[in-house]
Amino acid sequence: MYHKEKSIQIKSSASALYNNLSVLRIAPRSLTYFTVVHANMVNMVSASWDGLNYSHRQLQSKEANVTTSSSLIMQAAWCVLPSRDILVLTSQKGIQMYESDGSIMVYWHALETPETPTAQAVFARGIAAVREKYICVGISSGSMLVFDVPSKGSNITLSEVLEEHKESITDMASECSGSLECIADMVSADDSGNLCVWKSGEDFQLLNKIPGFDMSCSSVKLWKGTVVAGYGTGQIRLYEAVTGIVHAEVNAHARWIYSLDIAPFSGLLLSAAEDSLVRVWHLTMTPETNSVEIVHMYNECVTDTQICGAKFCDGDGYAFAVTGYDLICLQQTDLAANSSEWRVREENLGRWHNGKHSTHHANRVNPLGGNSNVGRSYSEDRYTALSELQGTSPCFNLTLPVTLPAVHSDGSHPTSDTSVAKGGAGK
Amino acid sequence: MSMRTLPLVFINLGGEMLYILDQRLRAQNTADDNTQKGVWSEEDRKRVMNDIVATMFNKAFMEELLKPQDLYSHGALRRVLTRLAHASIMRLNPASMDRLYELMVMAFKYQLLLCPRPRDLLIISYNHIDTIREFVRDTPSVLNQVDETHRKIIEVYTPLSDGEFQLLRQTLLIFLQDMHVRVSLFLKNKVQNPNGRFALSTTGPVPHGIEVPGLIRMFSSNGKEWKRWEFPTGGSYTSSIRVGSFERFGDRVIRIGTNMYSVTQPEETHTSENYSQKVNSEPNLLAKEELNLLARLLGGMEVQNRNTETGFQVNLFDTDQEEEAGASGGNGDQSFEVINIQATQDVQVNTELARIAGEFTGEPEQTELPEGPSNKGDDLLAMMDELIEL
Repeated sequence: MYHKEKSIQIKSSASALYNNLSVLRIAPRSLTYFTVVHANMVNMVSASWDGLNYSHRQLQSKEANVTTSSSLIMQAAWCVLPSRDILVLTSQKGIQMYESDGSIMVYWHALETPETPTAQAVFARGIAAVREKYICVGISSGSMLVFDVPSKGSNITLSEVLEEHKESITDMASECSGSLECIADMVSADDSGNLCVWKSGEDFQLLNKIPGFDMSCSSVKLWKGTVVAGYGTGQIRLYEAVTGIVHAEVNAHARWIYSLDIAPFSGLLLSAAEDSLVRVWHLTMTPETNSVEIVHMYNECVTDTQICGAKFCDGDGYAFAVTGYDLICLQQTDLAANSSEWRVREENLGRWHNGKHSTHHANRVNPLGGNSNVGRSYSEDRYTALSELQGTSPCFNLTLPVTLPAVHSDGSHPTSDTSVAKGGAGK
Repeated sequence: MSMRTLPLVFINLGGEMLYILDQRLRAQNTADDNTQKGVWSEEDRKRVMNDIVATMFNKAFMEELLKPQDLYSHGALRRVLTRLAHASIMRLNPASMDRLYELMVMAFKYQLLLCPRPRDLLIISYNHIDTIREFVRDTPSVLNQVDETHRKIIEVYTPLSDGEFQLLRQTLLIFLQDMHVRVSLFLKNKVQNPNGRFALSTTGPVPHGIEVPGLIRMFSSNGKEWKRWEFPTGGSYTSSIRVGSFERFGDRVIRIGTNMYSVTQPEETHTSENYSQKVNSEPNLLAKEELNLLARLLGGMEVQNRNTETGFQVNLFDTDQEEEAGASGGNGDQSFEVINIQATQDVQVNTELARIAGEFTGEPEQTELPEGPSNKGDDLLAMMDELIEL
């Protein structure tokens, strides 16, 4: 179904941390950004879709005090909001927020650290963008910080502190299907496996609490009202978010799961663990029986590697990237050109080229056949609108009618691009 | 990240150090080459082990380690471990200490990576403590210290959750990141690849508490299972074996952390059920590199025995076949099977010893940035200086 592409080198190896890979697709510039955390640094790679240009940037953790020891970064992830993408770094000392290319830091929030160290470690971990204007970040104490983010500028404010979890937050996720019908907006997970389901707003509202029975949940996703949770026991569980009903349980991996990802348009699920295996699954909703089914699709073994990050590179799941402890590269895997899914994709692209779609919520063909009438995430909306104007294909790995804008080796772009990228015409 | 790493780091790294030293000292003792001088007697060896263990498991030292704190840097850790190694009549020069540190650290990295569940890091630590207990079983006072420490460790670590253990393990893995020193014993046993990375298997028993992968179960809204089916896992897993003992005594079950340098290990020239390897007549250059490191380590070890001379010669492999094949005498290490080591001569020894002795009272090396308002480990070093009798 998939086949391995070439690896992308990163400047330093990946650290053994949960969810240690984040991907941001910038269609107007035909680029994909990747971030991987290495100790107190974040490696950013910008890869052009033709596979010819790569540029690197490294971001350091900010230390509250230069004389203290350096601060380890726990996680780095992009938060995609309607009018901007923010790169968030969480570390032992606090939370840093940058513009999406990592060029400017727009916000810094310091964590309270006790005078003398206590047995409880202090750090921030768990990042999610929720609805139009919130970024939520988890703390080792179990608290969650909700930040209010304006459409531009650095006037980011702490809107609320949610105190529901008693153990360290491990991961957080917002509803990624783009559907406005879902009640639950966000799910948070902690070290004892407890899951909290939230509705966003001026005051976040706790909709449900799903107990964990001391099985640490390291990675969580929310899709079409279904919570997908990965545990230290190697199991994946699917729950109905607002009721907590268990739909399915999978004995997926032989070791601790480190990363989950969902391709929202197709319902493909990616799971990766310390057992060196990445697995692709397919989720299907059956509204009649109000259930979710999960089917296994594909395995990939990254030999002698404890995987710590795995993400789809696009909303359909045509490709995914993987990184592992001590690996100094990202491994990319692409849908095989001879698979039936590829033909479906070609048809889909034909439709894009002819501009046959008319609304933002047009039927999209997913890689597995059939239609999924799904709304889209904000970045897809933005780049779709732009591609309509430009007439370029939104999917990569094809010949494009327009020449790609050059990427300078230092990661900067020609100034003519920035006006296009920041969505003037499309919105 | 985790504030609880130090005690386990010391027990495991210190334990590895003791395994290596024990094996090296025994190897010299059992060699029957008649040019050997300054043999480490059984008594000398036990004395070295007792002195180091007594320092390592000293009550005040352990209490200091058990305070919640960040992990030391490599430099600070090395300084403290060097002082530990020198808590006896044995002396290692800096180059040997470098090599010893690399071996210890790579062994610990291997143990961390292969640790089945994060909580099993305790079993690995207890394996080290169990063997250390054996080393000092004839000395009740030191044995008592080991027992006391073991009790304290059990008390402090048992309440930690699996998530906290994973954080601890992740902190240690970050500390050991990017270290790929090739160790001949690991290369030989195929647990390490020639590129320095450890081999991770996708077969065998799953860790305790984990289900064998392969099963998908669907549930209806009233909680009843209504469908189940299997998927191909790409590996070949079996159910977990019984859980090891987390008490002071008992069958630990997991073998990681036990003494892999012990003399009871099968010789590499023998084929056995466990290691179905033929004698490798091809010289393995990478393994040789590591043997050279071990040799240099040995070369740096001098006996400070006031009555005897200090030169000695050691064969690393003690099977007849390989000794015949090896170069005779001399100082060459051209042969791949046998490495002959000669200690430095008296004059060099004396100057070397003087320099090392100077290190005890001298300032720490300024090889790295300051680590904070007070250098990490300095308190510990001061404490160890008081404990060490020169």
